[in-house]
Amino acid sequence: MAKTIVLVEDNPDDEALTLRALKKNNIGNEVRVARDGAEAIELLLGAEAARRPLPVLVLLDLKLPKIDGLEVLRRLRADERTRAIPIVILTTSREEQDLVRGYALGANSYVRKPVDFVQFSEAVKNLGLYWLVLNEVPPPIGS
Amino acid sequence: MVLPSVIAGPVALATLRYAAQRAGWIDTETGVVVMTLTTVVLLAAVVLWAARSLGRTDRARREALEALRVQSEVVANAGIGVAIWELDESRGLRLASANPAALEGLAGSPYAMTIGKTFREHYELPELERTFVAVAEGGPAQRLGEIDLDVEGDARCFAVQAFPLPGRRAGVAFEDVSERRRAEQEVVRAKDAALAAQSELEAFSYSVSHDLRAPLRGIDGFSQALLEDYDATLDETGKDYLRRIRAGVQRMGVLIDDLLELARVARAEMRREEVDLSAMVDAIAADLREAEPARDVVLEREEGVVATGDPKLLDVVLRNLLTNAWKFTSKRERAQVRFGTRRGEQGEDVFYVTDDGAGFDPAHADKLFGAFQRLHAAREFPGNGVGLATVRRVVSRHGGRVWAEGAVGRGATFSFTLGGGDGGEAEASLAAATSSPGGGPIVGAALAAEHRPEEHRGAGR
Repeated sequence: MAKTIVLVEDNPDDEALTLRALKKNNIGNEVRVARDGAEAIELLLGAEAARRPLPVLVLLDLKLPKIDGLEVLRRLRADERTRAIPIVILTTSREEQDLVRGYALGANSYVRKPVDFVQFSEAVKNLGLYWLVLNEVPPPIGS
Repeated sequence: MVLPSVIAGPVALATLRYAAQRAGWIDTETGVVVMTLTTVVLLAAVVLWAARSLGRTDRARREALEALRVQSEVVANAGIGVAIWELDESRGLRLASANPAALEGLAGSPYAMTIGKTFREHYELPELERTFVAVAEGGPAQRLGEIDLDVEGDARCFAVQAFPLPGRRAGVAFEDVSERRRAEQEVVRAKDAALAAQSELEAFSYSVSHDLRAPLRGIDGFSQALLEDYDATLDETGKDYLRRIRAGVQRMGVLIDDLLELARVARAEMRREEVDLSAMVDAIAADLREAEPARDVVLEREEGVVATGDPKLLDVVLRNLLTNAWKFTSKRERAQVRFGTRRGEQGEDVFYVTDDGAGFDPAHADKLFGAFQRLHAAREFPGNGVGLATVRRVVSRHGGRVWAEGAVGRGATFSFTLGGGDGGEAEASLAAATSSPGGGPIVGAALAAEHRPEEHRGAGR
């Protein structure tokens, strides 16, 4: 079964760099990109989502247009289908309040995007290795 | 006492004289002489005594008059309105007298005072009338706090006190405190404005942090991507340019972080706690050693150094000073850094960090703590000059000072004190200014009444 990753990221530069980092670190999974909060909800909870297997990892930025990242997180956790998907917050925000709320709303992990690209690439590789290779994916609901 | 003896004396003597004359002890002439002399002496004594007594009474009367005159001058000239209300037979309050301040203060307004008119004829304030009546009937003195009145269309505020006076009277002292009230409201407004500006600044710093970093990450990321993916097509110069771009971006990232820290340090709420500085130094040194394991730095730190202040902010201070010490000793094979405390000139605690590194030219010492000011070239020692500005900000928020001593090539010592109180904490002084006591300063007659409550309480009988 194909393990897909969903990347929720509004910044096209960050999107390009994240995709490149994933590729460079041999994380060859299919990556589907949502460019704002509404697209993310649609992608993960919309009509089409029901017909596809769930992604094994969601990389979620917090600063998103339309619906912001924490709200997306809240809705994903509120829905039975997506309640258990591993969600990693990947954001520039260092604000403690975001950290606290992210975890309170049920994120699995909170990673800050560093300015240094090498570090960023390292972070992406580590995330990929952990969540896609090492971590056991929760079984899909109703299977 | 005196009068009976003045009469009884001569009568007794006269009786004695007759008796002595009849008994033949003395003759008539001697009798007369003795009588006359004794009477004269008695009269003289009486006159003297009367004179002295009168003199005393007169002096007492004059002193009392003097005191009364002084008091009425005080009342007449006080900037505070004093009015005396009298309870008449029908329990109506009538204005018996009022000082110039009272009459002028409200002159021409709907609250103008006219001697002889009743309270009801003056004002439509039944509650106040009831209070004054109660006081005039011998009730306890009342401090009525602040009462708002509209005088000639101008909203004014008065601090009012009422106190009982003999003869079923109530004395009322009132002061126009509108100005002071306005000043207090100004302070509250200013404080609110300051707090609003502060939260705007916080929101701004937050977005600056986020919005500035995003493009930086892009610049750095794509430069690195070029270096990696186009390695074959780029010559050494091209790669060098890209590396410089990346280096510039890193520096900018650090600068943003330092500036944000300076902003945060300037506005963060301060706590006052006992902080173990020795332990803090140990923790920071551990981080520094981990970051640069190759460096050989000998750290001598005094045991049990404790200070009172905000732990997070003090951590910023020590981190900056120790990082500098590490940085400027980087050219030494084995560096010596010391942290300790000593007594200052006024007995205050002085904390210091000394290193034996590159030092600085003391002629330019005053520039050290200015933001962005550096005394060394970036290629010699990296840095953006914000760290010491941050240190100074934290230290002055604690009410202390920071200063540096050093010489070129012979290391540097950075010393700081932490004061005792909250240096320049605007909140503290604003809080003090906005707390307002109820009645305001009311002198003269009112105070006299308060000091002798017993006398006045019986007045309403």
